[in-house]
Amino acid sequence: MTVNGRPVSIEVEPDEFLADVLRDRLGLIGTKIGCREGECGACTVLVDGDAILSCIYPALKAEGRSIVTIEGLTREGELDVVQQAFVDAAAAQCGYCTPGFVMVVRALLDRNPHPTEAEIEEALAGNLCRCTGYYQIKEAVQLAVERLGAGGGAP
Amino acid sequence: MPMPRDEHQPVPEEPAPLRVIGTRPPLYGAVDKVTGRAVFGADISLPGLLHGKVLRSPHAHARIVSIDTSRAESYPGVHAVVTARDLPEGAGERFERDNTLAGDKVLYVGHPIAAVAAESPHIAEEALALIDVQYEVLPPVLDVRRAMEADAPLLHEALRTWSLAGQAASPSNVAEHLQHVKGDPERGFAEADVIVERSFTTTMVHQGYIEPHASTALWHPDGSVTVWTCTQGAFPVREHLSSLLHLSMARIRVVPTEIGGGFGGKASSYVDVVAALLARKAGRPAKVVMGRDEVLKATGPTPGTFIRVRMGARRDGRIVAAEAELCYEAGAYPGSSVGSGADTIFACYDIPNARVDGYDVVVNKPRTSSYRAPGATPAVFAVEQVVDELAERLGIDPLEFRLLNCAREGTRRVSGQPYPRVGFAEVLEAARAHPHYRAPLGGPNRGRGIAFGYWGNWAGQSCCTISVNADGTVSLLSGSVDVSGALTGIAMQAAEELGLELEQVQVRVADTASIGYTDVSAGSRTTFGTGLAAIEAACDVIAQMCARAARLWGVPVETVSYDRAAFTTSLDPTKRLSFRELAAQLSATGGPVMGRGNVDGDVLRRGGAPGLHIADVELDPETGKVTVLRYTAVQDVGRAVHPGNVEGQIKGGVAQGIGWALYEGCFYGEDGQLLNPTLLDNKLPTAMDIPEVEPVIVEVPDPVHPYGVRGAGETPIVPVAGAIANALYRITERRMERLPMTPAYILERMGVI
Amino acid sequence: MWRDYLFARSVDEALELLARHEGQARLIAGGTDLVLQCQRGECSAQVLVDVTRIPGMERIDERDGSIILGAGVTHTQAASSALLRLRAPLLSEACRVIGGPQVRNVGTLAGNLVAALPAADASLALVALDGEAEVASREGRRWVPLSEFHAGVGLCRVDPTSEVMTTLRFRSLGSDYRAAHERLARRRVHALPIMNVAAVAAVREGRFADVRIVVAPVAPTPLRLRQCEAFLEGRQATPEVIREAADLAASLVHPRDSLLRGSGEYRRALAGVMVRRALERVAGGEQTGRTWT
Repeated sequence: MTVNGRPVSIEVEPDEFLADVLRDRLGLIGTKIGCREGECGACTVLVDGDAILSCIYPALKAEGRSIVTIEGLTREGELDVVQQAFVDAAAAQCGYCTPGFVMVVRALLDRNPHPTEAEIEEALAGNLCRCTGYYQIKEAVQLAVERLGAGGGAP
Repeated sequence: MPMPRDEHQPVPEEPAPLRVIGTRPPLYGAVDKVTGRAVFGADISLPGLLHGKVLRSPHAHARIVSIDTSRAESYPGVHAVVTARDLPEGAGERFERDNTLAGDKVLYVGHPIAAVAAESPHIAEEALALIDVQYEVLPPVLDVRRAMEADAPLLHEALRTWSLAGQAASPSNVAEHLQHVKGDPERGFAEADVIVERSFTTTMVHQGYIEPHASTALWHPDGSVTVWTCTQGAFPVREHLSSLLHLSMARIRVVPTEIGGGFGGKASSYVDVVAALLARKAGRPAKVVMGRDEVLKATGPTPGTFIRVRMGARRDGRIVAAEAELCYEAGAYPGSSVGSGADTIFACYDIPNARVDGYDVVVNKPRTSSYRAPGATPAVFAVEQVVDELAERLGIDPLEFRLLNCAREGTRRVSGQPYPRVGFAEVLEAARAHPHYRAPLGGPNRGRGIAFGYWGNWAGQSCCTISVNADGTVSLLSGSVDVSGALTGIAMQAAEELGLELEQVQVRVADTASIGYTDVSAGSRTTFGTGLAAIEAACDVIAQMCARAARLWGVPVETVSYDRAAFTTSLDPTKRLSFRELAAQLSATGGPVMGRGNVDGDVLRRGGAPGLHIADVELDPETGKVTVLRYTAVQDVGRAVHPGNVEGQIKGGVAQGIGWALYEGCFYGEDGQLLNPTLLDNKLPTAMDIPEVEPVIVEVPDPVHPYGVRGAGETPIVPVAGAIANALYRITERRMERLPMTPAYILERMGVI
Repeated sequence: MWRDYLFARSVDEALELLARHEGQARLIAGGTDLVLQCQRGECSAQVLVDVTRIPGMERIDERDGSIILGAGVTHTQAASSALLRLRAPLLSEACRVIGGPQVRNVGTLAGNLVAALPAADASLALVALDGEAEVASREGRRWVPLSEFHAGVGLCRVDPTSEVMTTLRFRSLGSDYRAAHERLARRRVHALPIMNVAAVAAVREGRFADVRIVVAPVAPTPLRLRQCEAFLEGRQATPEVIREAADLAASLVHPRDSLLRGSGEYRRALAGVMVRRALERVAGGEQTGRTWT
């Protein structure tokens, strides 16, 4: 598979999950595990551009696919538009849910750069945040949309 | 002492306006969080790491007849198996020990009994199944009032009720009966023209932090141990380890990682000792990460309660008497938040005659812990509905009624202390003036409710050091773990005091070997208490540097002062050194400068944070479904060091309060099984469930803090359930006597089903 | 949990792999339900056969008056399909609310049916649309009506250790058809609902025709209220008739008491309310699928 643009070839157990392979085998600890039930969204990564829950995604499904994790968004030290928006809107309190949210927002804006408020809420519905009440997270999305629209940062 | 300014220093003519405090810089650690670089509890990785898993009781109440770990021990890939026998003889308090690894009884489903360290989490799980435990199953008691009955099954044979009368003679599930009395309640009630009495039941609720507990332990050849753990307080974890391992504190280093939410639930230690025991026995580092079901079953949710409130008022609107009985579930071991519940229940009001009885009751559920203003939410849910009802019976507007009766500076609380300066009236007045209070509801089946809550805000002990770097920047080391922006607030206070820009302050969280004892980041104390320590350290730095300037200039130190980031002397107006210029000369003038602040905030008489919330809700009268339409939270925060952060705390607290009010809860079957040990069934609000929350910051500075900081993090959750209940009353004309107020319950109250 | 994870490149290969493992293997598509079942110990499969790479399983077409969906169609694909939004908005809307976007991206409608959870949204819509599933086995292919598909909680009439669902289809509804989906859950989305009702009917000259009403979870399987449907057939679409139908609906369901989802009495009352609301929306001319509250 390709992970954050780099080809990776490893042996995994048949019942290993992508989240554990990313974290434990590849040292990519940015993807967090909150529940192992597919309920909290903290483990969200992109597989061929689609947001999926890596804690219940058998690693072998990723064979031949292109995976992007939170670590893959920063380029040459520059934060991605979505990441910067999260910083500027103070959307991260404890920060545990943040990578999952950033990935799902990235996937949303890649497919739909002008989402309505309802579309934004629907896109966020698979991720839980216990600290913020979501207000700043929604603000971060609006900020990212504005900035992308103004030509600030290609996906 | 929080303000160690040299008395000889001339007071500046015009105090400089605040430059840093009150601004909204990016929060410390934000970039690490959005890039995934922040290291949380489960992110620790060490060579040779083993993975630990915990065997937990399937029974809510049972005697352990025998434990046989031999098959697990010989399972390939297993390096260690531990039980309570691996704890040093007599180590720690009995209850502490037993909740770490069970002794002769298990007292809740999920109670830890044994643990295994193995090459992989998978193998560890498989090995758990090979541990044979024989139980003698006992009947569980799961309801707080049932547990108080004389013939209820007993959890602890040796538990005797402590009360004002001393210790009782016979065993009980009631660990403590506390009581506060003020004035003469009987006489007060006799004077009342209107009396309202109601009883309420609330369900146990979990804090719902997204990050499960995780701990990694590494023993060193010299017999010392390092433990990385996601905790709200590294020092209490060290104490816990020291006590249970019979190890001196000098041999323990606890390193706090980033913490993925705590809300009080990570102020207790669950797997740290187990990780340490496993690592020591295996001779390799060991990491224990809790699963979501373990977190929900076997950590420390907030108590379910039974609360009875009776209040009386005169026709002129003055409350003359109040009485409350609070029965709180402690869970398997004593120590619920009934004490703070008892403190909070009438805290907002000036009541001449009152009595509060609190009961700390053990039941066969996990030992309860703090959840954001522990004990207050159920108490305020109860009392605010009774207050509302009194106001209604007297024909007085609910906000006016509260203004008429609110506590003020000097009001003596039911628990005895008089209030210092606190903005009770200011908060009420700000709410009254807010457009939300008079806005039209705009539709049928809608109602507006208010609730008034208070949280006392703890102070605690804190340490900070500040070292001056040769380039004029400083390095601040905080004894407090960062919880959601508190660290930034602390750095801002240091920067303000030092006259520096925030960018010139480098911030780190210390481990227990690097700084003095600091209490948990909890109780709304961190920005306040560790802020005080940072200010003290900053003042120490300034004092030391004034002495350096004095030496450089050959003048008496009393003539040197520091203002607007520059040192000057009254003896020679041409002499001036900026902070940076002097910093560059430290080595040449006597060596490095390092300031320290070690503070015991508890000696200060600080006031807490009152909050008044206004909630508009809409009820679907056929399904019972509640939608929160509009929400305003007014709160006295003393001084908002970082207003964005404070607003974030308010919104987050209200979001939790809404979940608590309407659907969250830990529901137990008759056999003591938690019926919803998954996030699927223990639902937390999503982005689609929380309305816009408008935070309104009121600032009545706390006089004991140099910048007036009060602490803001907990109060936001306290009034929410009460405000929503009062709003529902307006629609249904029924008081909600149960939490959560589920659709089925609301329809039941309405008599529809 | 499972000791082998294999990919099938065709339906025949999938069948062959299943047969080779003699009941120890089963199919996995998105896996969002299956993985949890395995973790809970409810599924003892030793081998998983992944069917998501079989070409041609993601089609959504209309042919000969029927809408055809490949068994690999995900909820996201169904929700965003222009064809479904136009011709079967009940289904596309139901697919929009399930889980969160991450679950919808990998979860298939076929998988939702096979998981046979009592309240599953896509299943509800498919049953209301009188859908059928084509099931392939070593013995050949057959069509199974979805109203008979579910046998109990977690049980369906497809044997996932030896059979492969290939296609779903339902008759396209004419322009005189209306549909509504009422959903009540403790949170707005990403939750198994407390109550879920789908109603489909044609309204011809003010009268109900070809009515389908499905309710869940009030029984181990999604429940078609046939008596209620029969009652409404040919009757005027008036508030009185609808109210009578709703009362009848409430009497037909016998949900258990559930500490988490509400008492049986509450849920029965709720079923009646939601059937009434769904029928009102159908009578009122609604084309689309959903309100969730």
